[in-house]
Parts: sequence; structure tokens; C-alpha cells
Amino acid sequence: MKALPDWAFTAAVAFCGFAFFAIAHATGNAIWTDVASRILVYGLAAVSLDILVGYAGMVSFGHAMFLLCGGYAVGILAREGLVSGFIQWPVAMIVSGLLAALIGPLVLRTGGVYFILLTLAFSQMLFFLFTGFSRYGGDEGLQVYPRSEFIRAVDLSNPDTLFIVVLLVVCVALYAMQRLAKSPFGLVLKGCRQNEKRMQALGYQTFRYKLLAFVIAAAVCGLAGAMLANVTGFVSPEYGSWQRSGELLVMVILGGMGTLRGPLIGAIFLLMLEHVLSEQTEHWPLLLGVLLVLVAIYLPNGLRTVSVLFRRQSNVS
Amino acid sequence: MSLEKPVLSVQNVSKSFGGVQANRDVSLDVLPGEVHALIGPNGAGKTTLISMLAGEVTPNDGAIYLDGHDVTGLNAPQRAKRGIRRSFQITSVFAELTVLENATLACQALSGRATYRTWRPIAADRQLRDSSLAALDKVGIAALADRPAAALSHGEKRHLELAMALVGEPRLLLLDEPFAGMGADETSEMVERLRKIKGTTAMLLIEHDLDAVFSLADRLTVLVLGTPVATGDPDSIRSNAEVHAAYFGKKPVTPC
Ligand SMILES: Nc1ncnc2c1ncn2[C@@H]1O[C@H](COP(=O)(O)OP(=O)(O)OP(=O)(O)O)[C@@H](O)[C@H]1O
Ligand SMILES: [Mg+2]
Repeated sequence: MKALPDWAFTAAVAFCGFAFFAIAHATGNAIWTDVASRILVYGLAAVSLDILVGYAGMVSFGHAMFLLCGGYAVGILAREGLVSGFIQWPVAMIVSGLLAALIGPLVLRTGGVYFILLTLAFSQMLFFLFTGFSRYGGDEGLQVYPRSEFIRAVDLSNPDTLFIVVLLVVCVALYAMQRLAKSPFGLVLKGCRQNEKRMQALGYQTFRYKLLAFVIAAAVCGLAGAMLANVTGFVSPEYGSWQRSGELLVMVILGGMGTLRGPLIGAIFLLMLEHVLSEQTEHWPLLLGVLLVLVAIYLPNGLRTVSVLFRRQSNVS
Repeated sequence: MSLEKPVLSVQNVSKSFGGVQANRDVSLDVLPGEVHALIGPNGAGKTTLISMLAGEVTPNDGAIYLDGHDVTGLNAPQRAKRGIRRSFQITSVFAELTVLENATLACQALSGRATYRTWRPIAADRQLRDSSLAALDKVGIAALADRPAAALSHGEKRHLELAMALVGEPRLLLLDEPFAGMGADETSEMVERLRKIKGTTAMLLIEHDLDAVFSLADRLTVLVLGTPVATGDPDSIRSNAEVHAAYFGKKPVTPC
């Protein structure tokens, strides 16, 4: 089987996105675009987490803190009257990256379980820091008003326009991360996950690479946060709750880590399921739990490999 | 021989882990192009010594010089960049990567900044690919380049491990039991490999297989309970009484 080119996956996402958009409108379900935007944004956040978990082997349990960071960057700037998205979104990325550069040297000193614990601790600190910011809504949160402004023709308060913008930005970011995964840097990260000691014996100062990966993943997640603020029109400390960090991890693991594709599939699946099940029963987390167990047992490489199940069946028959 | 400046000079190095004294007052040197073997019973502190030389374990005491420069304060990657390369007692390749990717990681480690590139695909770098293949070819496994490393036989993995350590013409090779777990055929193949490399780079070789050791080494140091008890050429080590008592468990046959 010949490997598909880098852009094939991005193109497929873009195509599916537009196809979805067309179908939603044709069937009079324009309301779906709001859910779809949300899914794409979380998908991007999960993919950025996959750079850490799946490539560099750094299991962060605090990744949602960068959603919070990016979201508040937009919310606060809007509140202070700086509404240009051309400034807000890059600022969201830079601030998130800087935060990662600041705490990275501390959390990266440790590995394994302690890394999980420390990332969780920092995200909790940020969470409580923002619940105390009464100027920006405290634990009540902050309305994002107005939405980020780009050019006149692009009005993000229109859900359709917002969806298209989110789709395009997510595709660009996905493509960039696919490039990263196949770059020299990406190979170094894989090496760090598999055997860090060996990497050091080869001459790699692994700490530097891991720090850079941490910063890049944070910046991309900050971008997702900036978009999420526009999708929901609201930011609150909940953006960075540990539950949300956990959800991002579930998306990555459910979809299949270390693949970039997987986490996006995981995000689509988890959020759709949450959406559908929560309308049926309030006990949906229970159903979700059962499903996760099944996936863990039958699809250890994630939902991405769902075709394995059918192959196995056809072998038997 | 003593006129040559040693590549590696270890001076009075000690290391203890809690109550366990792994190395005590170890001094030895490795001359240019020399194969210096380190032998000793299990737990003698051979691996600990190698780990200190590679910069993975910090000695409690003593100093390590590479080409006359004190490298005691450098960490593992810094020493690797200066030319100290090691292989591991327990096979240590990147199992989920291909054989070529393993070699590529070794090659690009020496290229510095290029490893921070995040946009250009690694596959587009012909030069890197060629040098990676050349590294594999040196140990005769270039044909396996596209296999996942996990799919290699034990002997092939050991060869890959050697290929990765050999990249960039190291000043000093630290080989921790390169024949461990190998069958007789594989061992003799590896001995041949090392014989070909011999002379081009200085080697410190840990090995339990004494036939292999005596056929390769220019000099040997015998480590017992963390301390060198004898250093010398193969003949003098063979006939050294102290060595026999401590290591071979019996006295040499002395002519009466
Ligand atoms: N990280 C460590 N922590 C505690 N003790 C250690 C550590 N590393 C080694 N030791 C102890 O130091 C001693 C020397 O171990 P080392 O592995 O260097 O021996 P060796 O000569 O390589 O043995 P072998 O031939 O079995 O490989 C042993 O008693 C070992 O238990
Ligand atoms: Mg050992």
C-alpha cells in the first residue's frame, strides 16, 4: 500500500467539513454547525495533546489549562476593547506558549506519574486563579463580546461563518502538525517516548525537545481556546477544569494516540455521543464508561483501527 | 606505548548506591585505537563504570578525562557529542521505529540545529538517508532498513545497536556485553565485526565470553568488587594469580 501524501488527511477533513455543511443546510439543520464547530475545536485541542502524549510520551493531565488561557486571552482583550482577531488569536497562542515555557522547566524535571500530577496541579492553580479575577467575571465567567473581528465580510457571530473559519483554521493547524510529525523534530519526539536514555546516549538534550513540544502543543491548544471562546461566546474557569483535561485525554486515547488522525476521530465520536446520549438519558456517563471499556479491550489502538473488528470477523467466517 | 596520550583517562573514580559500593578508586586508561577489555564477575561494577564514563551516573569521587579534557561535569548528551558513545547491556533500540529511523536518529544527533526543524519532512533529506544507510551498511544490516526494529532477531538488534554507536566516528566506544544473549554463530560474527573496527577507534569492552575477550583485547582490566585488581596484556592476565583466585575461582597451574 502506497502511503498517502501529507495533505490527504487535511483535504479529507476539509472535504467532510464542507460536505457536512452543505448537508446540514440542505436538510434544514443549520443548527448543527454550532455543534460541529465545537467538535472541530476540541478535535484540534486533542490533536495538540497527542503531540505530547502520543509522540513525546508526556501524559499531561492539565492540557485544558491552555484552552483556558487561549479563551481568556480573547475574552479579556475583547472586554478591554481590543477586538481584532488578527491580534487576539496570535496573542492567545503566544500567551499559552509562554505559560508552557514557564511551567515546562518545572513539570519536565519529572516523568511518568509525577508529570501527570504536576500538570494537573498547574491547571488547577490556573483554574483557581481565574475564579478569583472578579474584573473578568470570577467563577461566573466572562461574556465574549463582541466576537473576534477579522475583515468586514467575516462575521463570527454568524454560526455559519464561524464554522467555515474554524474549519479552515483547524485544517491549516492539522496540516502543520502532520508536517511536524514527519519532520526531524517529530522523529526525535518519538525517540524520546520510546527510550529517553538511549536518546541522551546518542547526544540529544532531550529536555529541550520536550520543552519545545510542550510549548508548541500549548500554543496550538491556545488557538483552539481562542476559537472555543468565539463558538460559545463565553469563557469561564471551567475551560481549564481537570474534567476537561480528562476529556481531552479520553479523546486522544479513544481515537488512537500517536496518529493525529485518531484524536480527531476520538473528539468527533466522544462529543457526538455525549450530545446524543445526554438527550436520551441523564445516565449517559455510565453508557460512555461501558463503551470506553469495550474500546480499551477490543480496540487497543483506538477507534481509528475499527476496521480490524470486521477483518477479524471475515477471517472467522 | 606509554608515550601515547590516552583517549580516556579515569582517575580514582568511586561510586556507591546507598550502602552498595559499586566502584571504589578505579583508575584506568584507554589508548588510541586500543581495545581495552573490562572483565569481572557479576556485580563487579562494570556497567556502573561505563555509565559513569557515558555521563549517565555521577561519580561520588574522582575525575574522567577525554583527550586530556576533564569531562566529569558533562552530562550524557554532551559527552556523546564529544565522541563518547555507548551500547547497552540490555538491547536498547527504538523498537517501534524502523531500522533506518533508528540509524537516522543516531546520524542526525550530530547535525545539531537540523533536529529542531518541524516543517521539512525527514524523508526529503537525501543526505541524511544516505548517511543512515551507510551506518547500517557498516555492520551489514542495510538490507533490513525498512523493517520495524522490533521485528529483528536478537543478533540483528545487537548489530543495529552497534551501528548507532559507531555513527560519526566516535573517539571512544563503550561496549557493554555486545555478545550478551547471542548464539555461537552470532557471537563469532560480532567478533569479526569488532575486529574490523578495531584500530579505528578506541574501545572499552565489557564481556563475559572470555574466548571473545582474549581474541579481541589489547589489554585487560579485571574488576573485582568494584576495584581493578589487575591490568595488563592478555598473557599477563591469563597467568595472574590474583585474577585466577578472584575471577576464575582457581589458582593457575604453577610449574614446580
Ligand atoms: N542504580 C543502582 N542502584 C542501586 N544499586 C545499583 C545500581 N546500579 C548498580 N547497582 C549495584 O552496584 C553493583 C554493581 O552493579 P553493575 O551493574 O555495575 O555490575 P556489573 O559488573 O555490570 O554486573 P553484570 O556482569 O551482572 O552486568 C551491584 O551490586 C548492583 O546491584
Ligand atoms: Mg553489567
